[in-house]
Amino acid sequence: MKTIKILKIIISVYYYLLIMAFIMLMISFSIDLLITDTTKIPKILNLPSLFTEMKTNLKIVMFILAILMFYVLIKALHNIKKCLIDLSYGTIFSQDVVSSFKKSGMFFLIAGFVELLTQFVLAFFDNGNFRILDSSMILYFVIGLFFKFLSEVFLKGLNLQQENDLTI
Amino acid sequence: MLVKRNMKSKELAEIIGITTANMSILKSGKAKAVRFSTLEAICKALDCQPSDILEYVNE
Repeated sequence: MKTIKILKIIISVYYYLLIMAFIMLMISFSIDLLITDTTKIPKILNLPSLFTEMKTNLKIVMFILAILMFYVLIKALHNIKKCLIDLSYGTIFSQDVVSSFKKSGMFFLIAGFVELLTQFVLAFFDNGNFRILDSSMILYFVIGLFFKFLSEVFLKGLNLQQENDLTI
Repeated sequence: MLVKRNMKSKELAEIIGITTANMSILKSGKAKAVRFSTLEAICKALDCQPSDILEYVNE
C-alpha cells in the first residue's frame, strides 16, 4: 500500500501544478491580447515565441485547444486521484474505482484527439510539420486505452468479489 | 425443514457457524453458491439429506 500512497502524492502534486499552469496560461493569454508591447510583460508571464508570432485568429484557436487540453488532463487526473484515494483506503473492487478508471481512460483518449487536432491546426494554418506519429499523442492514446482496459479488469474483479461474498 | 426440527434460523446459523445475515441470504435464495462444508454442516444440524433442503426451480 506504500506505493499507492507515493503515487497518490505524485498525482496530487501534478494535478495542482497543472491547475496552476492553466491559470498562468489564462493570465498570459489575456495579457498577450491586451498588451501589444511585449517588453512590458513580466518574463514569467511571457508566452512561447511560437505562440506570440501567430496571427490573432490562430492564437484564439490555439488558446481554445490549450484550454480544452488542460481541462481534459485535469479531469483525467482528478479521476485518477479519486480512485487512488479509494485504493489507498483498501477499497479495491468498487463501482467508484471502475467508473473512475473508465472516465480517466476516456479523458486521456480525448486528450489524444485534442493533440491530433492541435497538430493538424498548426500544420494547416501555420505551415508547420504535421506529425501523425507524435510521441505525446501516442502516449495519450496508449494511456487512455490502458485505463479503459484496467476498468474492465476491475469490473471483472468486482463481479468475482460479489460472487465470493454471496458464496456461503 | 427448520419447522420440522422445531429450530429457529438464528439457532441453525449458530450451529453451522455462519452469520444471521448469511443465513438470510441462503433462505431468500440470493446466494450465488453454497460451499460443500456449509451444506454438510446444515445437513448434519438438521439431520437430513441435501435433497431435503435443495430444490431445482425452472425459471
